Amino acid sequence: MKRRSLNKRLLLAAAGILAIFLFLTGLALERAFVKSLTRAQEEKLHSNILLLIAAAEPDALGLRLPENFQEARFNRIASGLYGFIFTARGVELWRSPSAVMVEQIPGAAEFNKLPVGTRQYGRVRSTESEPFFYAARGVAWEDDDGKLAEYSFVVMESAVPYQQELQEFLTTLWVWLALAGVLLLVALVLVLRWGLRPLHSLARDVGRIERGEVSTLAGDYPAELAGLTQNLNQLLRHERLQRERYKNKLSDLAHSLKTPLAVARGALEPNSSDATTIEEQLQRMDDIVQYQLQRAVVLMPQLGREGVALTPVVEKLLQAMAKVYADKAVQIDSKLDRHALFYGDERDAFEVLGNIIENAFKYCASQVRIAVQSRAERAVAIVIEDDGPGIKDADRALVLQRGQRLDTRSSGQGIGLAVVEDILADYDADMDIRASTLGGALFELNFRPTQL
Amino acid sequence: MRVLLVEDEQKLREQLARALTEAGYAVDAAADGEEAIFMGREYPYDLAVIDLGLPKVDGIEVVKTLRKLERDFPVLILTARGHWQDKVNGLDSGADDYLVKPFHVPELLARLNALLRRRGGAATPVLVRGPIEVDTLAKTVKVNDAPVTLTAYEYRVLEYLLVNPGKVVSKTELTDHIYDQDFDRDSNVIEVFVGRLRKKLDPDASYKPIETIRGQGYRFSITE
Repeated sequence: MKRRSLNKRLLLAAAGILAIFLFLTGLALERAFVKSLTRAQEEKLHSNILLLIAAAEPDALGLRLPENFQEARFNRIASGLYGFIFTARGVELWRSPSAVMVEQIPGAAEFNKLPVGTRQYGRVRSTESEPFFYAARGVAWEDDDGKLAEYSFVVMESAVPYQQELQEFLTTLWVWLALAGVLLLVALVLVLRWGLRPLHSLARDVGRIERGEVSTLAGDYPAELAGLTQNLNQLLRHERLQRERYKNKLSDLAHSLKTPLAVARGALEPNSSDATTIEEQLQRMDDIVQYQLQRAVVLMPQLGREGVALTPVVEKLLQAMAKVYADKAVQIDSKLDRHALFYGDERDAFEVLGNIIENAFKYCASQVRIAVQSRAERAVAIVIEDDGPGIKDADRALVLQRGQRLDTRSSGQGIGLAVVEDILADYDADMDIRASTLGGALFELNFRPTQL
Repeated sequence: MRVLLVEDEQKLREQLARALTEAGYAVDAAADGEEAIFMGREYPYDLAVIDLGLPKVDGIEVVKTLRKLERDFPVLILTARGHWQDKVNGLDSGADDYLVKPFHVPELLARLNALLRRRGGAATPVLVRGPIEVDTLAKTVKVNDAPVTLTAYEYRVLEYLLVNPGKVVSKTELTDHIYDQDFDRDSNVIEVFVGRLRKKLDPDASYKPIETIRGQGYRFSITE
């Protein structure tokens, strides 16, 4: 399955988050608005009740109210604002001129017998299915004789304007939020396109490298991509170097095989039947092939930056050699640092150590000593000693000669050490050969991981 | 000594089989890993030479399987890639020695001889038992320093008894270890071989090197 593009991923995630965020914002605003609107409505109705109470005058029948009110809607018939006064027995004592047409007072039974001092507020549905808000208040009135009479003052107001106002607010709110959302998304698309532009140009540049138009990524990349492009450039450089090396190796191989081939062919001439010459040349060709095969292991020395623990490698090799040289009953003295790491290819570690350890087992009389020690800054020192005949000074120099082609090396020199030298050269590591206190040869290897 | 040879390349297999037979081994050859496992399970071998790159089942798997089946004969692996990791993996899987291709046949024979010797607990290729001296590399026998000529099969019977000192070896076991699988066996022939060996090694019947344990088999009685 093709992975979704970065652009799409970011857009999808941003759109999702934006939608949720805008929805929650809208919800919060709607709630706050409804709350404040409802409270305002309640305040308004209560203040209208106070208006009625202030206008009421006690008379013989109970209370008397003026014909006209300051609040004009009490006066206009079917204005939507109605006032009522009920006696303690639930009898309607008075209604505002506006309420003349109201036949039935919705929910009247509930609020016409309020205890004195209590307030009520709520919402009812009238029979005409027009919703109303109402407010009611229980009031005690002292008449001229000093007798207390109890009344319920009720004011009702149609909820239609309230609903209209609310509806208007909601429409405006959501339309604007949706607009803001769309605007933000558009802005995001533009930001993304701008932000991801270096990636597109990187892809374009890599394509140019592929087509061979340029050799490195030379563009000016932002800091976040600089690491990647640097590594890519290193990889490319390394790859080129490696290719160069392969080419050299291949021509080396071809050239070094030509001499023995020529000699062998000469030996096959009718008047010459020199089996030993052919055998010698076959051996030489075998050596060359063997050497190149072992060297083929080294692919990318410094790029395998992960450390390979050396102790398991050494232990495996010691075990293998103890098995092969079981007859010798070699006494192994090993001091292995568990933290010692080799920054390179594990197979290279096997080739280098395998060849040297095998030599130690092959030439020792009865004792092999090996020490692996990690040093500061990721360096590692390896010392392998034996109690065999050792290596003469003149031969040491020969072994340590670097960069010789195999067919130019003197015969009798092991392929193993040539491979070791070659690998060490790739890692820029040192090898020192000395006389061991055990009596035989001492090989000391020093690896220092060079910075790329 | 009976050896299992596993090599997929026909030319090399035939060459090695011929060389091993000439060196006095009874040789069974297998061309792939499956056949090798089958043969290793079915027949008793004293030794195996196994190539690592095999069709069907690779050499390391063959060695592992044989070891799991408790076949403990020495195994020498052949590898074309001289990489250390291959060698170490091969030895880790249960092999006892390795040889990198191409190799000289004498080198292979010397390694096989060393493996057999190591198994029999001998340090040198020359086994001395009383007046009898057997050179397992040259396949020659001397009694009281005088060379004795043995046929190939007589030599194989003697060598097998020698590397199993003090052990009673049945006629069937001897048959299994001196013939390869294609041979038409007749265990009565073993009696003939043993009779001739006794006559050649001990013409006066003075120290009786080969005992007959009735109903069980033979035993080489001189242990040192």
